[in-house]
Order: sequence, then C-alpha cells, then structure tokens
Amino acid sequence: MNRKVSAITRMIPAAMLAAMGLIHESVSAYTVNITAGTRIVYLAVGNGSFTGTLQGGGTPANNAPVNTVSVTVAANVVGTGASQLMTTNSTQAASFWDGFAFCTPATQQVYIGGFFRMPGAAGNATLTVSTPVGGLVNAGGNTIPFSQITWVSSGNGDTGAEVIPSGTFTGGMQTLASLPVNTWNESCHTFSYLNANVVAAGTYTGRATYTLSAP
Amino acid sequence: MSRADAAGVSQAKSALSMMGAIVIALAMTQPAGAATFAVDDSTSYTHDANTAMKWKLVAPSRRLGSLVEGTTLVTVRLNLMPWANKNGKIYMALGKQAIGPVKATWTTQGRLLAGQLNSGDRTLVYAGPIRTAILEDTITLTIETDGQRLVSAQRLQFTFEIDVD
Repeated sequence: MNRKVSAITRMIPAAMLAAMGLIHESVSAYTVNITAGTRIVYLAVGNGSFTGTLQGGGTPANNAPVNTVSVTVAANVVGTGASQLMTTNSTQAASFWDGFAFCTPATQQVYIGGFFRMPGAAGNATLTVSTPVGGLVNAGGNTIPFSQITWVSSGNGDTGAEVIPSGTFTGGMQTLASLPVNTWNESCHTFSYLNANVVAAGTYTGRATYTLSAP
Repeated sequence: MSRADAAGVSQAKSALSMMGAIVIALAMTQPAGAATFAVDDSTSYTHDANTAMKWKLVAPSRRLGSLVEGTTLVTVRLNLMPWANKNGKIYMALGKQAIGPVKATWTTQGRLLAGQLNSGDRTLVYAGPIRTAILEDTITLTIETDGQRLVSAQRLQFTFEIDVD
C-alpha cells in the first residue's frame, strides 16, 4: 500500500507537468560549431594603406614606400645645441579609424597607429623601434648617434597621455608602447635633431624600423 | 444593514468568488490548450563542420570593436507528423550561452520565415496548418557574438518547438 501511494505521488507531478506542456521529449538539435576570431596585426608608420574605409568594413593593406624625416643644418648652426625641427614627406593626416584628420603633416607630424586582433579580452602587443647602434652614417663613415633624434607625441583633439609617447631614439631596440588587445592606438610624432655635436659635413642617414609584436 | 442588503453583499461575494474560480480555471487550462512540444529535427544538418568567425570590422572601432560573425548553411528538416492537420506555430530556439549573448539571423528559401534570434529566446519560423510530414528548408544562418569572449570553439545547439493550437 505504501509503495502504491509512493508510486502515484511520483507520477502525479510528471503527469501534471506534461499536461501543462512543460516537459519536452529529448530530440536532437542541429549544431553550429563556431570558431574563435582570427588574429590580425596592423601597424602604419607615416603613410599607410587601407582598402575602403574602416567604417565601411575596409581592410588594411601593405604600403611599401618608407617615409623619411630629414633636416639640413646650416653651417653656422652645426653643433650649437639649437634643436632642429625635422621635416617629413609623410602625407598621412587621416586616421584610418574614423577618417578624422588626426595628424598635421604640414607641421611635420608623422602618423603612427595600429592594432592587433586576438580572441579574448586580455593581452597586449608591444610596439618597438630599432635603430642602428652605430648611428646615422655619412659617405665618409662619420656618424651621429641616434640619440640625437627626439620626437614629441601629440594628436589633434587628444587629451591626456599619448598611447605612443614622446621619446628619444637610444640606438638599438627600444620599447615604445604596450597596446591593449582589440583597440585602435595612434599618435603623431614630430621629430627634431638635437644638434649637440659638431660633425663633419655630409648627408647622414639611418633607418628606424618599427615593429608591433602581438602575443 | 437590511436583509436585502445583506443578501446583496452575499451575492456579490459569491460572484467575486466565482469570478476568481473562473480565472483560475482559465489559467490552468490555457497552457494545455496551446501545448508546446519539441520538434524532431534529427535529420537537419549543417553544411560546414565549422563556421569560421571573422571580426565584423577588421580593425577595431569605438562601436563594433569586438564583434565576430560567421555564416553557414543549414538544411532544416522538421518532422511534423505528430501534428498533421493541426494548426501550429513553430519556433527556432537557442539557449543562453556561456560566451554571452549570441545573435543569429537567417534567410530562407521560403518555407520557413526569415528572422533573428538572440540566445535564450525563440523566434517564429512557421505559423499555420501542418500539411506535410517533413517541413524542409535550407537557411543561410549568420552568427554574431563578442569576439573577446569567444576564445575557443563553441557548439551552438539550435532546437525547434511547436505550439499546437
């Protein structure tokens, strides 16, 4: 008797739930397997390339030409310590982020911006720049240390600290910034030659190579 | 209070009680009248083993910085034999996901309704008389979710259910 009552009490709730449509028989479901987003890294120094616009779903593209910054120091100023503003052939004013005129090439600003894509909300990419330890070299083998070149970081409409801050080349590899995942980062750099040393006449050249390394 | 008044009050109480009983009775019978059943779609299949999710915008922006999306084809085959010659509303459903909100949008070839579905919810894909044992359509399904939460492969299980009139 007790067993019967027990069985009935177990059945009633299930029957009630079934009558109320709250119990579904188990049937198969179609399954869509989705994978995580792909990893992407993009860096533009000076003129960059983008097919279309970012807001329109544009895609970053490779831009082979290397921009320059340069200055010609008058003979009577060489080695005086009077800082010399360097001019650039970069014409990149607009941010590929939103088309905003972020840099002003007319005032010798060089656009530097980029991002990296990675699934997840954690992680930082490292922006470095590498310059020859031997410095800038002229045809006669004379050198000027890269530490004689400095830059000021800014951006139209920016407030607070720049993501790629002001600095000075050290000669060799140096870290410029840590860029958080899935964010667009950009600054405009205006370069100057410190002109602290009396050096031999000539054209001194050297290349600074910027690298964005994602984890 | 006169007896007539008292009787009136008594009748009023009775009427209120009856109304309460009727309301309760309706509440009890409504779900049974529009019962919901799971629909067997065991012969449905996705055309791709995996759906590669891509960033909605290649580069991040303020508005859509971390959304990823992917598209796949799904042949939906619903076994409606148990409800033949009845009227019903068929819904596609997706449970809540550990990776957060998932939005599915789809277009169809016309036998099912196109629509949009957020995880944890269901969306109408068919309404009307059940005149066929198997209702089949191929849908183009686009999945959208937060790429910052989708750090590994996930299985999204879609189900169908029918409300029979």
